[in-house]
Amino acid sequence: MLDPGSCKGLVLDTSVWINLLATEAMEAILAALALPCHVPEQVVMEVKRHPATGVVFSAGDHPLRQSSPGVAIISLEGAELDLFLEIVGAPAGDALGDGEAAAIAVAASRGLDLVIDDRKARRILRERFSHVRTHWTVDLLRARAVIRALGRRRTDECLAKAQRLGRMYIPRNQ
Amino acid sequence: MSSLVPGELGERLRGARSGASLTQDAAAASLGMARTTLVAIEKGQRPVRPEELLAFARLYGVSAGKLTSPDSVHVDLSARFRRTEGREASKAATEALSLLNRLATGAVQLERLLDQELRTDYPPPIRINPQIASQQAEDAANNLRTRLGVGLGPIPDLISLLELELGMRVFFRALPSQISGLYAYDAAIGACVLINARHHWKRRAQTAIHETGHFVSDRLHADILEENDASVSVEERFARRFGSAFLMPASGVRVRFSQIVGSANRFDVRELILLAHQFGVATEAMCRRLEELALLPQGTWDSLRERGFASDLERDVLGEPSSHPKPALVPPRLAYLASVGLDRELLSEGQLCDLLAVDRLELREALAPFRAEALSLHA
Repeated sequence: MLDPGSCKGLVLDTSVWINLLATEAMEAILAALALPCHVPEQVVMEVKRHPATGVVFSAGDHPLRQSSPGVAIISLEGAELDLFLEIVGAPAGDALGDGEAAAIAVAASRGLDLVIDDRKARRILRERFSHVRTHWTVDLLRARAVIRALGRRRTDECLAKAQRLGRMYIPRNQ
Repeated sequence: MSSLVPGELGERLRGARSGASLTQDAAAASLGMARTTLVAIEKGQRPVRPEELLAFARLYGVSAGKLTSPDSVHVDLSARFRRTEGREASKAATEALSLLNRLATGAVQLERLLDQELRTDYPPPIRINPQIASQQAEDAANNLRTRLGVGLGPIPDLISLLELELGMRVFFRALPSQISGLYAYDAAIGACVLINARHHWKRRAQTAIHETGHFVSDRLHADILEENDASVSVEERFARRFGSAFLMPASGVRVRFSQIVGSANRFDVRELILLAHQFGVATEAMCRRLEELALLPQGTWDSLRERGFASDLERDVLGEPSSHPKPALVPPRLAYLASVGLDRELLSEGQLCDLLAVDRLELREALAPFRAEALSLHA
């Protein structure tokens, strides 16, 4: 369960941004969570088009660069960058894509909660970064603050759209 | 930073720069570094700093993982094309070649990770004799048909045949309209073809088999098939003849031509359209094939076109064209492997997007059929 009280901020992986865009209520959800969101450049570059409208984003009109003031785009440097390169440069079985690796590097280095749906990434997190607190997209959409702000009906619509338009993965136990 | 030795990383950076069609001067200027530094990095004489590696990846449009992972597959097809064609490729052709490079190396890497490497059964290459190239092409087409066990009739699913029986890698992507397709071969990735997904399905089939003509002859001769290509090289002549002979085998065409003439007692434009339809080729292709086989006088097609041949006539004879399925962005076999990789937590979505050259949504759409709950074969 996502507990905004004990969370310094969130890092959202590419998979999650795609799902949030698919809800067509991304701004309202982020505002309801009221947590700083950190987005590595590598993640921004992987969010290429809108799942609902099909619009392809250009650098100038990218929704992650224009969203709420709580969203900060991050360039990796120092130890974060070293960790990122270590993850992407690992043998394929232990490596991840650029966005996933960058999200983990930022969350692990800054003590932030990580929202990520990819199962291999979560396996690597369990094995190597067990100190990083992780959540699924579904946890964001079911957070009390989100339901309070959007209402139960609209939240259910968001879940349905994330599944239908974003093809969001929901783990069996959720 | 990476387990790669500097020389190997340098070589990958050089290949990525070549794929992005950037000279050393242009790349160094964009990165704000001296050309001598870039040269030293590419030669493995100077280590790459982490920040520089990110900048290289961004400039060349490749992932950091592609540059640094010890398992990533690297081939430089652009060099092969320039060597064989002896001319500079257009910007559109260079980009298409770079895409083929990415698609083919990604497919090989995916197969290796899942221990599902493509089974190949390549026919021995043919050495073209310029004096008898046309006859060699006819024979090669017949031999391949025999080898594939497809008789003399039309082939309903040519692409699956090329992929599953020969082990060629065939990809479809939207390309600039003047490019029909590309072919390249490298020992590390095998024979690969990229076909313009925007073209009509009959033209796509013609492109696929034309490129197969290059594959069965001078395998190492990379080819980009562009509209109004005036090339008269012997390889090109062979590939053209091979393509028409494979799709419209001489004896099969003669039999059907005789049947139509026998029953209708004539062979006019409607009969031509019907015959083309029976072989799944364009009317123009069939007309030119009949000219080639001396069943129609030379110049018949040019004359028909001058006298106003229009596709309305095809609609009159065949009815409204049935819609043909769009080719898959990710070949079904690779989409299946990708879904297995995800399920077994061997690959992440991000890695798969990189390997298959798709974005997240395209990946999820391609994998959806393999991820939905399916009806079990077992009661």
